[in-house]
Amino acid sequence: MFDLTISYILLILITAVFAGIIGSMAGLGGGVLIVPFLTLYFHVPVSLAIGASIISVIATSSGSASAYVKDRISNIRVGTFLVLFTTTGAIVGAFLEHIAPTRIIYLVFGTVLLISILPLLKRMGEVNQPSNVKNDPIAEKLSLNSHYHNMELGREVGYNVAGVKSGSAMMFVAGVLSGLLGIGSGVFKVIAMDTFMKLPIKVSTTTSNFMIGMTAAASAGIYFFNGYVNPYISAPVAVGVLIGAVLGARLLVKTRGSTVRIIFAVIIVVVAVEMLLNGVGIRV
Amino acid sequence: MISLAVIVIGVVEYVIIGNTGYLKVPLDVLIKSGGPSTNVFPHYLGAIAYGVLQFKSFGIIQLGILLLILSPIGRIFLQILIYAKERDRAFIAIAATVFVILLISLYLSRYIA
Repeated sequence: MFDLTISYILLILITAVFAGIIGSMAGLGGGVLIVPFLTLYFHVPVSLAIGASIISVIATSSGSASAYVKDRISNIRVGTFLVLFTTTGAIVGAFLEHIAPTRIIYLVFGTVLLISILPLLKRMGEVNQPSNVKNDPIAEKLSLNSHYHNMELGREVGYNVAGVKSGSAMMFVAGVLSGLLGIGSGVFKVIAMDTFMKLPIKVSTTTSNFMIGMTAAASAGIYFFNGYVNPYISAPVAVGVLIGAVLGARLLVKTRGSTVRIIFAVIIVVVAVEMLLNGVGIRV
Repeated sequence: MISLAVIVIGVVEYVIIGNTGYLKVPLDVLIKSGGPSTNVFPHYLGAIAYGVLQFKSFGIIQLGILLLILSPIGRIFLQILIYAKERDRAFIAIAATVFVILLISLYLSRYIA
């Protein structure tokens, strides 16, 4: 029994390292990868898997954030400003819980995600340096525009921030979703920054990483104090994801923006399929 | 990173001693039970503090997890200090608001089952 437990925990640890690497590069918490792995492969009860997934989101955020802040890829000003909307949304979401059946919410947002791949694909071939982007008046006032090191061009490049209003609205919706469904909604955050605010993809994913930890912390207490965070599962997940996130952050610094875009597009498909399956009643 | 160290200490103790410090639930029972009914590990502040003082491995792991949950709140607090140093009024206000929202939601979370 004891040996079985050790190998079981080691397997979860290895899975978590992998989820941490992908999560920190794509700007999401790895919950989308961890929950199906835990429930389908390790037969962990769904409630405990979701508790572990919340821990995984925070671990991804904490593990990668320090690296991204140091390398000045993530835009902390944009992140801090937008977190205002996600956390408010998360509280509203928690109160709205019974407004619509979760299955319908899953169906709607699964479809939304599938559609949102289109603008992403359209920009697939670009050099990932959005040009001709005009700074939004609000971005101007809060000086949100910044610069980062672009891999393809091999130099420091500046970028502007557009669509602050629509981006913020999208962040609020992402927050409501986290509150309603108990998900990190990092995917929606990256889409908001990439598609609406026209930020470079690497800036979008790393800034999302900075934000998801805070959105998840807002709802983590519910799971923790109700006993959904079981040490057997959450300890290997937390340790593994932290290690994976640090590795992923190192990798991302050396990865091309276009590669990040491909990884992110694949993840969107996975998330969308998961959401649609949940919507038709197949729990993953 | 402190939280990682605390969790690792707890895990190492569990592996060496082979005892959670609490009623032991075999893994297969845990998996079949559906979850919360087997929560024989500390998940209240008092119980965790007691577990840590008794050097129980799962008490220490839970302390580490709790520190991990609190770390984003610590980070936004750090952000307030950074903006205060830069005398950036707009962003002091934004970061402080986020900090308060997070504290409110953590407080509310105890009352939502």
